[in-house]
Amino acid sequence: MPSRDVILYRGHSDTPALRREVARLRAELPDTDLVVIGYGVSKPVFAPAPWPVIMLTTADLAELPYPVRLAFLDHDWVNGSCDLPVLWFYRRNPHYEHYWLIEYDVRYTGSWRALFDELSGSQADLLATSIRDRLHAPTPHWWPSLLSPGAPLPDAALTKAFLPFSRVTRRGLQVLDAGCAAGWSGHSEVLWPTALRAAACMLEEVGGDGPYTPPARRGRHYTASADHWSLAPGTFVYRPGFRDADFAVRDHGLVLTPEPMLWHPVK
Amino acid sequence: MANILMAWELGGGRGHLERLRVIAGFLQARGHSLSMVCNEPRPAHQVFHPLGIPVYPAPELRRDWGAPAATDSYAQLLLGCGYAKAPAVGAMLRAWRRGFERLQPALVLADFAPTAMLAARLDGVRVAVIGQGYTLPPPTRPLPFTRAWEAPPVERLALLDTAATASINAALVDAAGPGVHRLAGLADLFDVDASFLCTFRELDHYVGRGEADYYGPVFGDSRGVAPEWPDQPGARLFAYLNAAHPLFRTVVSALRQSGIPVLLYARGLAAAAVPEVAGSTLRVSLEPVHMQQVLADCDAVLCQGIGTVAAALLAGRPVLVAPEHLEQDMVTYRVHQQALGVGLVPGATEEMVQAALRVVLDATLCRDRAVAFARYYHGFSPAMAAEAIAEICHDLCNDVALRTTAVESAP
Repeated sequence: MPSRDVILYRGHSDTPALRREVARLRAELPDTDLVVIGYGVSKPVFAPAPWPVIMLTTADLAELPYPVRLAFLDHDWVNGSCDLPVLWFYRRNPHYEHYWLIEYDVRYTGSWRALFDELSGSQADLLATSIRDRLHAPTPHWWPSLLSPGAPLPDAALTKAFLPFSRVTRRGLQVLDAGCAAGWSGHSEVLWPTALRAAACMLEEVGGDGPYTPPARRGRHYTASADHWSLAPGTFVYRPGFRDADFAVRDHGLVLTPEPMLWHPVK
Repeated sequence: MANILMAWELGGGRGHLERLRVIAGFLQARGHSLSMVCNEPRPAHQVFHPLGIPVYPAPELRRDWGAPAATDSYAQLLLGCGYAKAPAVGAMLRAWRRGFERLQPALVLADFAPTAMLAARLDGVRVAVIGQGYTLPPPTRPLPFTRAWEAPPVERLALLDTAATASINAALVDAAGPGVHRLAGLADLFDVDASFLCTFRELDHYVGRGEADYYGPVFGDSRGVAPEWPDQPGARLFAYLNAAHPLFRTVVSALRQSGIPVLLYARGLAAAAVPEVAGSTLRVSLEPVHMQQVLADCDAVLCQGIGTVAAALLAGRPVLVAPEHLEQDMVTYRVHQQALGVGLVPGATEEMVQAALRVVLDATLCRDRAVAFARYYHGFSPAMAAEAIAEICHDLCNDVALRTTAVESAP
């Protein structure tokens, strides 16, 4: 039976750490499709691997039919546009129900199987971390990058989210793909949650303690300081980074801790 | 009519957008089709949507986080924004040219948009550059030192200029081959079809610029909420301050203790924080205030940016400037130098703010100088400058010979 879910493991360098983490995911989630996907100015080179690898160039991404967002695409640096490979993939593979996004520098000190099983009960179109509405997040962020078709949205309609570990539904990607084609643009951390909210899609936090955290997951899976631009202190932040070597590694992955946590960025 | 692309790459605040908005209105009246490309699309969308002008995100210049915070010259500013590396400049050029290919501009009106200017040069698109003094340094070799109150580091300025020029030239060659016209120095960046210096000589960031055409500041002064003053007698102060300014709390505390009737437009202040800031003599507005009305009703102005400084002086009001960064330091220096007002230093105490308030509200020197300034520029209006600029842009689009319409500076 074909998988309803796909993990898009986002990386652009073929490293032992990436292979270790992907192997761990494959071992724990054998029924879920997994694709390593990334991009670069020139196509990143990956050695043969026992899983599908899709490496794109910025020129490939420039072919997406997003007239505003890509009108002045910087071929060398797609800041805030790391969601483009996801949209590229969705347009060619729209049959999945859920698209899980995991960046290469995410670690989970628990069982991926258990986490995925728990989150599979969520009906949200976007599962992410540190989701906050503009009115409750006055700190500088990517708000000025946002463009929507028609009249400008009021501040009350703006939302941000942190996406290194996230899940989006097929409906959510339909909304985002059609939105970008219609003129939506912006940094993905603002564009995704805001455009989805505008389409009455449901947002939910993976855990944490924010207004979008369901009671059953409150205080679980990660910590972050959503009011600070760096999201620090916390385990799932933008800065500062954690060292991969600090996570005790066994043969098949990280040591499982009593309180499983998501960590980012681990380099 | 022609496609005109307005570009804004660097800097913050609303001054760039306001300037372009006012000019855009005149260009539209001439039948031109406009688009706006900038790094802050949302505020641009808010400004230009009512005019039906589409907004596009600009390729983002990358800040080099390791770069020194000091900005000795325009060259160093560029080096700290990605220009230290030719491939980065090249990538930005490709991105701009890709956009030009799509929008087919006949003219690029560049406001602090160096890469757009370079890309237009490569594509043979006409370029008009616009800005206040800081973003339009005099085209000396090397480009001048920013801090007129210090001795210029001559050798260092030359090195900075050479480094930025080398990056640009390498990117130009990469884009168009060895036969491309290279820059002899960074000053050549400003060798464009028209240059609109939107300030007064007295407020020019660069002291002693020499021969130049000053068009005067362009800003919208007829929008905003009606001023609502505290019900308190005495000389009034209008204050316009960024709520994130490091001195914001200190200034607010000093204003409250002074007992002076103050109307404060606190840009970016959360509505929930208003009760902490407001007082019986201090009224807070979260929205921009109608500039003409508020200046007519006040006796002095506390502000940061050159736009408000210029508006205040045009109305004959002395200014207390609270600079937040180098560009505003340079304006403060000019204001102080000519006794048009005074400035606050970083880390100023409440006592220092109080003393500065007394100078601008009570002392006759600053008031008289401000009144003299207003008298000299009587008859000038930002709209007049904007219309003159739009007229030249129109001519550029139509291959008509350039005309200059500049204002004379005060003696």
